[in-house]
Amino acid sequence: MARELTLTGNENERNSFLKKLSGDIGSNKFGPRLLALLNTIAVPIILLALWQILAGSGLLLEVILPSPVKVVKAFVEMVKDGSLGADLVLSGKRVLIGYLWGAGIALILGMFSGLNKVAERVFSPIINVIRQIPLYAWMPIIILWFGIGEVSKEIIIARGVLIPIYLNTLQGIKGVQADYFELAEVLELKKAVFLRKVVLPSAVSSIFTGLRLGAGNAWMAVVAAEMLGGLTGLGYALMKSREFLWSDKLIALMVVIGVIGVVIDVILRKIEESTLRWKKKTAK
Amino acid sequence: MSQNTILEIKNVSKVFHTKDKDVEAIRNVSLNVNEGEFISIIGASGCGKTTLLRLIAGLEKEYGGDILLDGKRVEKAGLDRGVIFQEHRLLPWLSVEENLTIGLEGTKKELHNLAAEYLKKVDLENFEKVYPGQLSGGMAQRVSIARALMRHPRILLLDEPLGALDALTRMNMQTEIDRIREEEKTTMIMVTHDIDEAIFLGDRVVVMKPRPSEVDETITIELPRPRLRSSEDFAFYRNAIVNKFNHSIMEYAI
Ligand SMILES: Nc1ncnc2c1ncn2[C@@H]1O[C@H](COP(=O)(O)OP(=O)(O)OP(=O)(O)O)[C@@H](O)[C@H]1O
Ligand SMILES: [Mg+2]
Repeated sequence: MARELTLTGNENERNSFLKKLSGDIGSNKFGPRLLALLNTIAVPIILLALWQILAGSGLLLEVILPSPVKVVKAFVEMVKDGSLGADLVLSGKRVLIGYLWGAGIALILGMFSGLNKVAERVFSPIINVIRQIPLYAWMPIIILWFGIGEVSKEIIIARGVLIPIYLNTLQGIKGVQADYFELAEVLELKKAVFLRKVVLPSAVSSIFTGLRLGAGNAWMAVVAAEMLGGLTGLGYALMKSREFLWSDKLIALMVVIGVIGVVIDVILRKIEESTLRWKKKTAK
Repeated sequence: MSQNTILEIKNVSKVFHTKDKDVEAIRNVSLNVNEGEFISIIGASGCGKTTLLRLIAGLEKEYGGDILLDGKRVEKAGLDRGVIFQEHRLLPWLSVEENLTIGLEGTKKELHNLAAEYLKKVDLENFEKVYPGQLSGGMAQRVSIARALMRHPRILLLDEPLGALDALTRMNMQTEIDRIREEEKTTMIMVTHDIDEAIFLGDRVVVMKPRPSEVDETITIELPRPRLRSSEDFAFYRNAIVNKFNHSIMEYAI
Protein backbone atom coordinates (compact mmCIF):
# COMPACT_ATOMS: atom_id res chain seq x y z
CA MET A 1 0.00 0.00 0.00
CA ALA A 2 2.47 2.57 1.20
CA ARG A 3 4.86 1.40 -1.46
CA GLU A 4 2.35 2.02 -4.23
CA LEU A 5 1.67 5.52 -3.02
CA THR A 6 5.33 6.33 -3.23
CA LEU A 7 5.72 5.01 -6.71
CA THR A 8 2.92 7.04 -8.20
CA GLY A 9 4.29 10.07 -6.43
CA ASN A 10 7.62 9.68 -8.13
CA GLU A 11 6.07 8.69 -11.42
CA ASN A 12 3.99 11.84 -11.55
CA GLU A 13 6.90 13.96 -10.53
CA ARG A 14 9.01 12.43 -13.25
CA ASN A 15 6.50 12.70 -16.05
CA SER A 16 5.56 16.29 -15.44
CA PHE A 17 9.22 17.06 -15.08
CA LEU A 18 10.25 15.50 -18.39
CA LYS A 19 7.36 17.25 -20.10
CA LYS A 20 8.46 20.59 -18.74
CA LEU A 21 11.98 19.94 -19.96
CA SER A 22 10.92 19.22 -23.53
CA GLY A 23 8.56 22.20 -23.67
CA ASP A 24 11.10 24.68 -22.48
CA ILE A 25 12.10 26.07 -25.86
CA GLY A 26 11.17 29.72 -25.43
CA SER A 27 9.46 31.70 -28.20
CA ASN A 28 11.29 34.77 -29.48
CA LYS A 29 8.89 37.63 -30.01
CA PHE A 30 9.91 40.22 -32.59
CA GLY A 31 8.37 43.32 -30.98
CA PRO A 32 10.30 43.37 -27.70
CA ARG A 33 13.56 42.64 -29.50
CA LEU A 34 13.11 45.62 -31.83
CA LEU A 35 12.44 47.81 -28.82
CA ALA A 36 15.58 46.57 -27.13
CA LEU A 37 17.61 47.36 -30.25
CA LEU A 38 16.18 50.89 -30.40
CA ASN A 39 17.01 51.28 -26.75
CA THR A 40 20.64 50.49 -27.46
CA ILE A 41 21.19 52.60 -30.59
CA ALA A 42 19.17 55.70 -29.66
CA VAL A 43 21.97 57.61 -27.94
CA PRO A 44 24.62 56.87 -30.61
CA ILE A 45 22.24 58.07 -33.31
CA ILE A 46 21.55 61.32 -31.47
CA LEU A 47 25.27 61.91 -30.94
CA LEU A 48 25.95 61.22 -34.60
CA ALA A 49 23.27 63.75 -35.61
CA LEU A 50 24.71 66.37 -33.23
CA TRP A 51 28.16 65.73 -34.67
CA GLN A 52 26.91 66.26 -38.21
CA ILE A 53 25.11 69.48 -37.24
CA LEU A 54 28.12 70.84 -35.37
CA ALA A 55 30.52 69.98 -38.21
CA GLY A 56 28.16 71.47 -40.78
CA SER A 57 27.64 74.71 -38.84
CA GLY A 58 31.06 76.06 -39.76
CA LEU A 59 31.81 76.96 -36.14
CA LEU A 60 34.81 74.62 -36.06
CA LEU A 61 37.70 74.16 -38.46
CA GLU A 62 37.45 71.02 -40.52
CA VAL A 63 40.86 69.79 -39.24
CA ILE A 64 39.46 69.86 -35.72
CA LEU A 65 36.14 68.21 -36.44
CA PRO A 66 35.50 66.72 -39.88
CA SER A 67 31.92 65.74 -40.63
CA PRO A 68 30.81 62.10 -40.30
CA VAL A 69 30.42 61.94 -44.05
CA LYS A 70 34.06 62.91 -44.55
CA VAL A 71 35.13 60.32 -42.03
CA VAL A 72 33.22 57.63 -43.90
CA LYS A 73 34.83 58.77 -47.14
CA ALA A 74 38.27 58.56 -45.55
CA PHE A 75 37.43 55.07 -44.35
CA VAL A 76 36.37 53.95 -47.82
CA GLU A 77 39.53 55.42 -49.27
CA MET A 78 41.74 53.55 -46.77
CA VAL A 79 39.94 50.33 -47.60
CA LYS A 80 40.34 50.91 -51.33
CA ASP A 81 44.03 51.75 -51.34
CA GLY A 82 44.65 48.73 -49.12
CA SER A 83 46.45 50.63 -46.37
CA LEU A 84 43.84 49.81 -43.75
CA GLY A 85 43.90 46.12 -44.60
CA ALA A 86 47.67 45.99 -44.42
CA ASP A 87 47.78 47.80 -41.07
CA LEU A 88 45.04 45.60 -39.66
CA VAL A 89 46.85 42.42 -40.63
CA LEU A 90 50.11 43.65 -39.11
CA SER A 91 48.56 44.83 -35.87
CA GLY A 92 46.37 41.75 -35.70
CA LYS A 93 49.34 39.45 -36.05
CA ARG A 94 51.21 41.24 -33.28
CA VAL A 95 48.20 41.08 -30.99
CA LEU A 96 47.71 37.41 -31.67
CA ILE A 97 51.31 36.44 -30.97
CA GLY A 98 51.64 38.67 -27.92
CA TYR A 99 48.28 37.53 -26.60
CA LEU A 100 49.00 33.84 -26.99
CA TRP A 101 52.33 34.17 -25.18
CA GLY A 102 50.93 36.35 -22.42
CA ALA A 103 47.79 34.29 -21.95
CA GLY A 104 49.67 30.99 -22.05
CA ILE A 105 52.16 32.07 -19.42
CA ALA A 106 49.45 33.67 -17.28
CA LEU A 107 47.21 30.60 -17.42
CA ILE A 108 50.00 28.22 -16.47
CA LEU A 109 51.30 30.41 -13.65
CA GLY A 110 47.78 31.17 -12.46
CA MET A 111 46.80 27.52 -12.31
CA PHE A 112 50.01 26.55 -10.57
CA SER A 113 49.57 29.29 -8.03
CA GLY A 114 45.94 28.37 -7.49
CA LEU A 115 46.69 24.75 -6.77
CA ASN A 116 49.95 25.10 -4.92
CA LYS A 117 50.67 27.42 -2.00
CA VAL A 118 54.42 27.42 -2.64
CA ALA A 119 53.91 28.47 -6.25
CA GLU A 120 51.54 31.21 -5.17
CA ARG A 121 54.07 32.55 -2.71
CA VAL A 122 56.66 32.65 -5.49
CA PHE A 123 54.63 34.12 -8.34
CA SER A 124 52.01 36.36 -6.78
CA PRO A 125 54.45 38.93 -5.34
CA ILE A 126 56.33 39.08 -8.66
CA ILE A 127 53.15 39.63 -10.63
CA ASN A 128 52.07 42.23 -8.12
CA VAL A 129 55.26 44.24 -8.53
CA ILE A 130 55.02 44.02 -12.34
CA ARG A 131 51.44 45.18 -12.03
CA GLN A 132 52.26 48.27 -10.00
CA ILE A 133 54.49 49.59 -12.80
CA PRO A 134 52.16 50.88 -15.53
CA LEU A 135 52.40 49.33 -18.97
CA TYR A 136 53.59 52.64 -20.44
CA ALA A 137 56.44 52.76 -17.95
CA TRP A 138 57.60 49.37 -19.20
CA MET A 139 57.82 50.42 -22.81
CA PRO A 140 61.07 52.42 -22.77
CA ILE A 141 63.10 49.62 -21.18
CA ILE A 142 61.54 46.96 -23.40
CA ILE A 143 62.38 49.02 -26.48
CA LEU A 144 65.88 49.64 -25.12
CA TRP A 145 66.46 45.92 -24.66
CA PHE A 146 64.65 44.49 -27.66
CA GLY A 147 64.71 47.32 -30.19
CA ILE A 148 61.72 48.67 -32.05
CA GLY A 149 61.07 45.45 -33.98
CA GLU A 150 58.32 42.89 -33.64
CA VAL A 151 59.69 41.23 -30.52
CA SER A 152 59.42 44.26 -28.30
CA LYS A 153 55.87 44.94 -29.46
CA GLU A 154 54.88 41.37 -28.71
CA ILE A 155 56.48 41.59 -25.28
CA ILE A 156 54.61 44.80 -24.52
CA ILE A 157 51.36 43.12 -25.53
CA ALA A 158 52.16 40.00 -23.51
CA ARG A 159 52.87 42.18 -20.48
CA GLY A 160 49.49 43.85 -20.91
CA VAL A 161 47.76 40.49 -21.11
CA LEU A 162 49.61 38.78 -18.29
CA ILE A 163 48.19 40.55 -15.27
CA PRO A 164 44.40 40.23 -15.65
CA ILE A 165 44.61 36.64 -16.83
CA TYR A 166 46.94 35.59 -14.04
CA LEU A 167 44.89 37.28 -11.34
CA ASN A 168 41.54 35.98 -12.56
CA THR A 169 42.79 32.44 -13.11
CA LEU A 170 44.28 32.38 -9.63
CA GLN A 171 41.11 33.70 -8.10
CA GLY A 172 38.95 31.25 -10.04
CA ILE A 173 40.94 28.25 -8.96
CA LYS A 174 41.21 29.32 -5.36
CA GLY A 175 37.46 29.75 -5.43
CA VAL A 176 36.89 26.01 -5.97
CA GLN A 177 34.80 25.01 -3.01
CA ALA A 178 36.41 22.99 -0.24
CA ASP A 179 33.37 20.71 -0.53
CA TYR A 180 34.55 19.56 -3.94
CA PHE A 181 37.99 18.67 -2.61
CA GLU A 182 36.27 16.41 -0.09
CA LEU A 183 34.13 14.92 -2.81
CA ALA A 184 37.30 14.14 -4.75
CA GLU A 185 38.71 12.36 -1.71
CA VAL A 186 35.57 10.34 -1.17
CA LEU A 187 35.34 9.35 -4.85
CA GLU A 188 39.11 8.79 -5.08
CA LEU A 189 39.31 11.01 -8.17
CA LYS A 190 42.64 11.05 -9.96
CA LYS A 191 44.40 14.43 -10.09
CA ALA A 192 43.88 14.79 -13.85
CA VAL A 193 40.17 13.98 -13.62
CA PHE A 194 39.76 16.37 -10.72
CA LEU A 195 41.48 19.15 -12.67
CA ARG A 196 39.50 18.58 -15.84
CA LYS A 197 36.07 17.90 -14.42
CA VAL A 198 36.03 19.92 -11.23
CA VAL A 199 38.68 22.64 -11.03
CA LEU A 200 38.56 23.97 -14.58
CA PRO A 201 34.78 24.09 -14.94
CA SER A 202 34.38 25.82 -11.64
CA ALA A 203 37.05 28.37 -12.54
CA VAL A 204 36.02 28.83 -16.16
CA SER A 205 33.88 31.91 -15.64
CA SER A 206 36.64 33.70 -13.83
CA ILE A 207 39.26 32.59 -16.36
CA PHE A 208 37.19 33.98 -19.21
CA THR A 209 36.81 37.28 -17.42
CA GLY A 210 40.61 37.38 -17.39
CA LEU A 211 40.86 36.37 -21.05
CA ARG A 212 38.46 39.13 -22.05
CA LEU A 213 40.16 41.80 -19.98
CA GLY A 214 43.45 40.57 -21.43
CA ALA A 215 42.16 40.85 -24.99
CA GLY A 216 41.13 44.43 -24.34
CA ASN A 217 44.57 45.17 -22.94
CA ALA A 218 46.28 43.51 -25.89
CA TRP A 219 44.44 45.66 -28.36
CA MET A 220 45.30 48.82 -26.41
CA ALA A 221 48.91 47.75 -26.01
CA VAL A 222 49.48 47.15 -29.72
CA VAL A 223 48.28 50.64 -30.61
CA ALA A 224 50.47 52.16 -27.92
CA ALA A 225 53.49 50.11 -28.94
CA GLU A 226 53.08 51.04 -32.61
CA MET A 227 52.74 54.71 -31.75
CA LEU A 228 56.05 54.62 -29.91
CA GLY A 229 58.13 52.82 -32.46
CA GLY A 230 58.05 51.34 -35.95
CA LEU A 231 56.53 52.37 -39.24
CA THR A 232 53.60 50.00 -39.59
CA GLY A 233 50.31 49.07 -37.99
CA LEU A 234 47.23 50.91 -36.81
CA GLY A 235 49.09 52.80 -34.10
CA TYR A 236 51.57 54.12 -36.60
CA ALA A 237 48.74 55.07 -38.96
CA LEU A 238 47.19 57.10 -36.14
CA MET A 239 50.45 58.95 -35.50
CA LYS A 240 50.93 59.66 -39.16
CA SER A 241 47.38 60.97 -39.53
CA ARG A 242 47.97 63.37 -36.66
CA GLU A 243 51.23 64.63 -38.15
CA PHE A 244 49.61 65.31 -41.51
CA LEU A 245 46.45 66.69 -39.89
CA TRP A 246 44.27 64.03 -41.57
CA SER A 247 41.64 64.26 -38.90
CA ASP A 248 39.06 62.36 -40.98
CA LYS A 249 41.42 59.36 -41.27
CA LEU A 250 42.31 59.70 -37.62
CA ILE A 251 38.72 59.41 -36.50
CA ALA A 252 37.99 56.61 -38.95
CA LEU A 253 40.93 54.66 -37.53
CA MET A 254 39.74 55.22 -33.98
CA VAL A 255 36.32 53.88 -34.86
CA VAL A 256 37.89 50.84 -36.53
CA ILE A 257 39.99 50.16 -33.42
CA GLY A 258 36.95 50.47 -31.19
CA VAL A 259 34.78 48.23 -33.33
CA ILE A 260 37.43 45.51 -33.53
CA GLY A 261 37.84 45.63 -29.76
CA VAL A 262 34.12 45.05 -29.34
CA VAL A 263 34.12 42.24 -31.91
CA ILE A 264 36.94 40.44 -30.08
CA ASP A 265 35.05 40.75 -26.82
CA VAL A 266 31.86 39.41 -28.35
CA ILE A 267 33.68 36.44 -29.86
CA LEU A 268 35.29 35.57 -26.53
CA ARG A 269 31.96 35.90 -24.80
CA LYS A 270 30.36 33.51 -27.28
CA ILE A 271 33.13 30.99 -26.64
CA GLU A 272 32.58 31.38 -22.92
CA GLU A 273 28.85 30.85 -23.32
CA SER A 274 29.44 27.66 -25.25
CA THR A 275 31.44 26.29 -22.32
CA LEU A 276 28.66 27.25 -19.94
CA ARG A 277 25.82 25.51 -21.68
CA TRP A 278 24.81 23.79 -18.44
CA LYS A 279 24.09 27.17 -16.91
CA LYS A 280 21.66 28.09 -19.64
CA LYS A 281 19.83 24.82 -19.24
CA THR A 282 19.67 25.30 -15.51
CA ALA A 283 18.48 28.88 -15.38
CA LYS A 284 14.82 28.66 -16.22
CA MET B 1 27.41 -11.94 16.05
CA SER B 2 30.89 -10.52 16.24
CA GLN B 3 32.14 -12.52 13.27
CA ASN B 4 30.18 -10.37 10.85
CA THR B 5 31.12 -7.07 12.44
CA ILE B 6 32.02 -4.69 9.62
CA LEU B 7 32.85 -1.55 11.57
CA GLU B 8 34.29 -1.17 15.04
CA ILE B 9 34.36 2.23 16.70
CA LYS B 10 36.46 2.02 19.84
CA ASN B 11 36.76 4.88 22.34
CA VAL B 12 36.87 7.44 19.60
CA SER B 13 37.34 11.07 20.48
CA LYS B 14 37.92 14.17 18.41
CA VAL B 15 39.11 17.60 19.41
CA PHE B 16 39.11 20.48 16.94
CA HIS B 17 41.94 22.91 17.52
CA THR B 18 40.80 26.34 16.48
CA LYS B 19 42.72 29.59 16.84
CA ASP B 20 41.34 30.69 20.16
CA LYS B 21 40.19 27.44 21.75
CA ASP B 22 39.92 23.69 21.52
CA VAL B 23 36.51 22.20 20.80
CA GLU B 24 35.96 18.69 22.06
CA ALA B 25 33.40 17.46 19.56
CA ILE B 26 33.08 13.83 20.63
CA ARG B 27 34.43 11.89 23.57
CA ASN B 28 34.74 8.19 23.98
CA VAL B 29 32.29 6.96 21.42
CA SER B 30 32.15 3.21 20.97
CA LEU B 31 29.91 1.30 18.61
CA ASN B 32 29.99 -1.92 16.63
CA VAL B 33 28.15 -2.19 13.35
CA ASN B 34 27.27 -5.52 11.80
CA GLU B 35 27.22 -6.31 8.15
CA GLY B 36 23.92 -5.37 6.50
CA GLU B 37 22.77 -3.43 9.51
CA PHE B 38 21.08 -0.02 9.38
CA ILE B 39 22.14 2.29 12.20
CA SER B 40 20.30 5.53 12.89
CA ILE B 41 22.17 8.13 14.89
CA ILE B 42 20.15 10.78 16.60
CA GLY B 43 21.14 13.59 18.93
CA ALA B 44 20.87 17.29 19.66
CA SER B 45 22.23 19.80 17.19
CA GLY B 46 25.96 20.32 17.48
CA CYS B 47 26.53 17.15 19.49
CA GLY B 48 29.05 15.78 17.01
CA LYS B 49 27.07 13.50 14.70
CA THR B 50 28.53 14.94 11.52
CA THR B 51 31.97 14.77 13.07
CA LEU B 52 31.51 11.07 13.80
CA LEU B 53 30.44 10.35 10.21
CA ARG B 54 33.33 12.39 8.83
CA LEU B 55 35.69 10.40 10.99
CA ILE B 56 34.33 7.13 9.64
CA ALA B 57 34.47 8.57 6.11
CA GLY B 58 38.13 9.40 6.64
CA LEU B 59 37.64 13.09 6.00
CA GLU B 60 39.02 13.94 9.44
CA LYS B 61 42.37 12.27 9.69
CA GLU B 62 43.36 12.88 13.28
CA TYR B 63 41.41 11.33 16.09
CA GLY B 64 41.79 9.42 19.32
CA GLY B 65 40.82 5.76 19.66
CA ASP B 66 40.27 3.42 16.75
CA ILE B 67 37.85 3.15 13.87
CA LEU B 68 38.29 -0.21 12.21
CA LEU B 69 36.66 -1.02 8.90
CA ASP B 70 36.99 -4.74 8.21
CA GLY B 71 39.70 -4.70 10.86
CA LYS B 72 41.73 -1.92 9.25
CA ARG B 73 42.16 1.47 10.92
CA VAL B 74 40.54 4.28 8.97
CA GLU B 75 43.19 6.82 7.99
CA LYS B 76 41.80 8.35 4.82
CA ALA B 77 38.74 8.50 2.62
CA GLY B 78 38.08 5.85 0.00
CA LEU B 79 35.63 4.12 -2.25
CA ASP B 80 34.85 1.43 0.33
CA ARG B 81 32.80 4.07 2.14
CA GLY B 82 30.04 5.88 0.29
CA VAL B 83 29.18 9.30 1.65
CA ILE B 84 25.88 11.11 1.21
CA PHE B 85 26.42 14.64 2.41
CA GLN B 86 23.72 16.84 3.80
CA GLU B 87 23.68 18.64 0.45
CA HIS B 88 23.82 16.52 -2.68
CA ARG B 89 27.26 17.73 -3.84
CA LEU B 90 26.61 17.00 -7.47
CA LEU B 91 28.76 19.01 -9.87
CA PRO B 92 26.41 21.52 -11.52
CA TRP B 93 28.32 21.59 -14.83
CA LEU B 94 28.13 17.83 -15.34
CA SER B 95 25.02 15.99 -16.46
CA VAL B 96 23.50 13.42 -14.13
CA GLU B 97 25.23 10.65 -16.06
CA GLU B 98 28.60 12.37 -15.92
CA ASN B 99 28.13 13.01 -12.23
CA LEU B 100 27.40 9.35 -11.64
CA THR B 101 30.32 7.99 -13.63
CA ILE B 102 32.99 10.55 -12.75
CA GLY B 103 36.31 8.85 -12.15
CA LEU B 104 35.03 5.40 -13.11
CA GLU B 105 36.79 3.36 -15.75
CA GLY B 106 35.15 1.58 -18.65
CA THR B 107 33.94 2.15 -22.17
CA LYS B 108 31.39 4.85 -22.85
CA LYS B 109 28.73 2.25 -23.34
CA GLU B 110 29.54 0.37 -20.16
CA LEU B 111 29.44 3.54 -18.12
CA HIS B 112 26.19 4.63 -19.75
CA ASN B 113 24.55 1.31 -18.97
CA LEU B 114 25.82 1.39 -15.43
CA ALA B 115 24.42 4.87 -14.89
CA ALA B 116 21.09 3.83 -16.39
CA GLU B 117 20.94 0.76 -14.16
CA TYR B 118 21.48 2.76 -10.99
CA LEU B 119 19.18 5.57 -12.02
CA LYS B 120 16.51 2.94 -12.31
CA LYS B 121 17.29 1.75 -8.82
CA VAL B 122 16.62 5.21 -7.42
CA ASP B 123 13.53 5.65 -9.57
CA LEU B 124 14.99 8.22 -11.97
CA GLU B 125 14.91 6.47 -15.33
CA ASN B 126 15.78 8.65 -18.37
CA PHE B 127 17.44 11.34 -16.32
CA GLU B 128 20.94 10.80 -17.76
CA LYS B 129 21.13 14.02 -19.74
CA VAL B 130 19.61 16.32 -17.14
CA TYR B 131 21.73 18.80 -15.17
CA PRO B 132 21.63 18.93 -11.36
CA GLY B 133 20.23 22.46 -11.35
CA GLN B 134 17.12 21.09 -13.07
CA LEU B 135 16.43 18.57 -10.32
CA SER B 136 14.35 18.97 -7.21
CA GLY B 137 16.04 18.45 -3.85
CA GLY B 138 14.74 14.91 -3.48
CA MET B 139 15.80 13.93 -7.00
CA ALA B 140 19.28 15.36 -6.52
CA GLN B 141 19.69 13.46 -3.27
CA ARG B 142 18.61 10.25 -5.03
CA VAL B 143 21.26 10.83 -7.70
CA SER B 144 23.83 11.28 -4.98
CA ILE B 145 22.70 8.00 -3.40
CA ALA B 146 23.05 6.31 -6.78
CA ARG B 147 26.52 7.79 -7.17
CA ALA B 148 27.57 6.23 -3.90
CA LEU B 149 25.88 2.87 -4.48
CA MET B 150 27.45 2.49 -7.94
CA ARG B 151 30.87 2.23 -6.35
CA HIS B 152 29.77 -0.74 -4.23
CA PRO B 153 30.81 0.63 -0.86
CA ARG B 154 31.14 -1.67 2.12
CA ILE B 155 29.21 0.88 4.08
CA LEU B 156 27.06 3.89 3.22
CA LEU B 157 27.27 6.98 5.43
CA LEU B 158 24.33 9.37 5.26
CA ASP B 159 24.45 12.73 7.02
CA GLU B 160 20.89 14.03 7.34
CA PRO B 161 20.34 13.21 3.68
CA LEU B 162 16.68 14.25 3.85
CA GLY B 163 17.12 17.26 6.11
CA ALA B 164 16.36 19.80 3.43
CA LEU B 165 13.22 18.12 2.08
CA ASP B 166 9.57 18.82 2.80
CA ALA B 167 7.66 16.38 4.99
CA LEU B 168 5.92 14.50 2.18
CA THR B 169 8.96 14.08 -0.06
CA ARG B 170 10.84 13.10 3.02
CA MET B 171 8.46 10.23 3.79
CA ASN B 172 8.64 9.04 0.18
CA MET B 173 12.40 9.13 0.34
CA GLN B 174 12.43 7.14 3.57
CA THR B 175 10.44 4.42 1.84
CA GLU B 176 12.84 4.62 -1.08
CA ILE B 177 15.89 4.23 1.15
CA ASP B 178 14.22 1.31 2.89
CA ARG B 179 13.68 -0.37 -0.47
CA ILE B 180 17.29 0.26 -1.54
CA ARG B 181 18.50 -1.18 1.75
CA GLU B 182 16.34 -4.26 1.14
CA GLU B 183 17.65 -4.73 -2.41
CA GLU B 184 21.30 -3.84 -1.99
CA LYS B 185 21.82 -5.14 1.53
CA THR B 186 24.38 -2.39 2.02
CA THR B 187 25.35 -1.53 5.57
CA MET B 188 24.21 2.00 6.32
CA ILE B 189 24.76 4.58 9.03
CA MET B 190 22.42 7.53 8.90
CA VAL B 191 22.44 10.67 10.99
CA THR B 192 19.08 12.33 11.44
CA HIS B 193 17.19 14.84 13.55
CA ASP B 194 13.93 13.09 12.95
CA ILE B 195 12.91 10.47 15.51
CA ASP B 196 10.35 8.85 13.20
CA GLU B 197 12.91 8.58 10.44
CA ALA B 198 15.37 6.96 12.83
CA ILE B 199 12.82 4.34 13.89
CA PHE B 200 11.39 3.79 10.42
CA LEU B 201 14.77 2.87 8.97
CA GLY B 202 16.99 1.75 11.80
CA ASP B 203 17.75 -1.72 13.02
CA ARG B 204 19.25 0.15 15.93
CA VAL B 205 18.88 3.76 16.98
CA VAL B 206 21.91 5.30 18.65
CA VAL B 207 21.04 8.24 20.87
CA MET B 208 23.93 10.59 21.54
CA LYS B 209 24.45 12.89 24.50
CA PRO B 210 25.03 16.61 24.06
CA ARG B 211 28.58 17.70 23.41
CA PRO B 212 31.10 16.43 24.07
CA SER B 213 28.98 13.54 23.02
CA GLU B 214 29.11 9.96 24.03
CA VAL B 215 26.68 7.25 23.09
CA ASP B 216 23.82 7.65 25.50
CA GLU B 217 21.89 4.54 24.64
CA THR B 218 21.40 2.16 21.78
CA ILE B 219 17.85 1.04 21.13
CA THR B 220 17.17 -2.03 19.02
CA ILE B 221 14.05 -1.65 16.92
CA GLU B 222 12.27 -4.95 16.70
CA LEU B 223 9.56 -4.16 14.21
CA PRO B 224 8.82 -5.99 10.97
CA ARG B 225 9.50 -4.06 7.76
CA PRO B 226 8.12 -2.10 6.03
CA ARG B 227 7.25 -0.29 9.21
CA LEU B 228 4.05 1.57 9.78
CA ARG B 229 4.46 4.96 11.39
CA SER B 230 0.92 4.84 12.68
CA SER B 231 1.23 1.54 14.54
CA GLU B 232 1.17 1.28 18.31
CA ASP B 233 4.57 -0.39 18.48
CA PHE B 234 6.05 2.46 16.47
CA ALA B 235 4.59 4.91 18.98
CA PHE B 236 6.14 2.90 21.80
CA TYR B 237 9.64 3.38 20.39
CA ARG B 238 8.94 7.00 19.62
CA ASN B 239 7.96 7.65 23.23
CA ALA B 240 10.97 5.78 24.52
CA ILE B 241 13.31 7.96 22.49
CA VAL B 242 11.51 11.20 23.28
CA ASN B 243 11.75 10.36 26.99
CA LYS B 244 15.39 9.52 26.61
CA PHE B 245 15.94 12.91 25.06
CA ASN B 246 14.10 14.85 27.72
CA HIS B 247 16.08 12.97 30.28
CA SER B 248 19.48 13.62 28.84
CA ILE B 249 18.71 17.28 28.27
CA MET B 250 17.65 17.55 31.91
CA GLU B 251 20.78 15.82 33.07
CA TYR B 252 22.86 18.09 30.96
CA ALA B 253 21.11 21.16 32.30
CA ILE B 254 21.76 20.09 35.87
N1 LIG C 1 36.14 21.95 11.47
C1 LIG C 1 35.74 22.30 12.72
N2 LIG C 1 36.47 23.16 13.45
C2 LIG C 1 36.09 23.52 14.67
N3 LIG C 1 35.00 23.06 15.30
C3 LIG C 1 34.23 22.19 14.65
C4 LIG C 1 34.54 21.78 13.31
N4 LIG C 1 33.59 20.91 12.90
C5 LIG C 1 32.73 20.82 13.91
N5 LIG C 1 33.10 21.56 14.97
C6 LIG C 1 32.39 21.68 16.26
O1 LIG C 1 32.17 20.39 16.75
C7 LIG C 1 30.88 20.30 17.32
C8 LIG C 1 30.12 19.16 16.67
O2 LIG C 1 29.80 19.54 15.34
P1 LIG C 1 29.01 18.59 14.35
O3 LIG C 1 28.91 19.30 13.07
O4 LIG C 1 29.64 17.26 14.33
O5 LIG C 1 27.59 18.53 15.06
P2 LIG C 1 26.24 17.83 14.56
O6 LIG C 1 25.80 16.92 15.63
O7 LIG C 1 26.42 17.26 13.21
O8 LIG C 1 25.29 19.08 14.50
P3 LIG C 1 24.01 19.30 13.56
O9 LIG C 1 22.95 18.41 14.10
O10 LIG C 1 23.68 20.74 13.78
O11 LIG C 1 24.41 18.98 12.17
C9 LIG C 1 30.23 21.64 17.17
O12 LIG C 1 30.35 22.34 18.38
C10 LIG C 1 31.03 22.30 16.09
O13 LIG C 1 31.07 23.69 16.30
MG1 LIG D 1 25.61 17.72 11.26
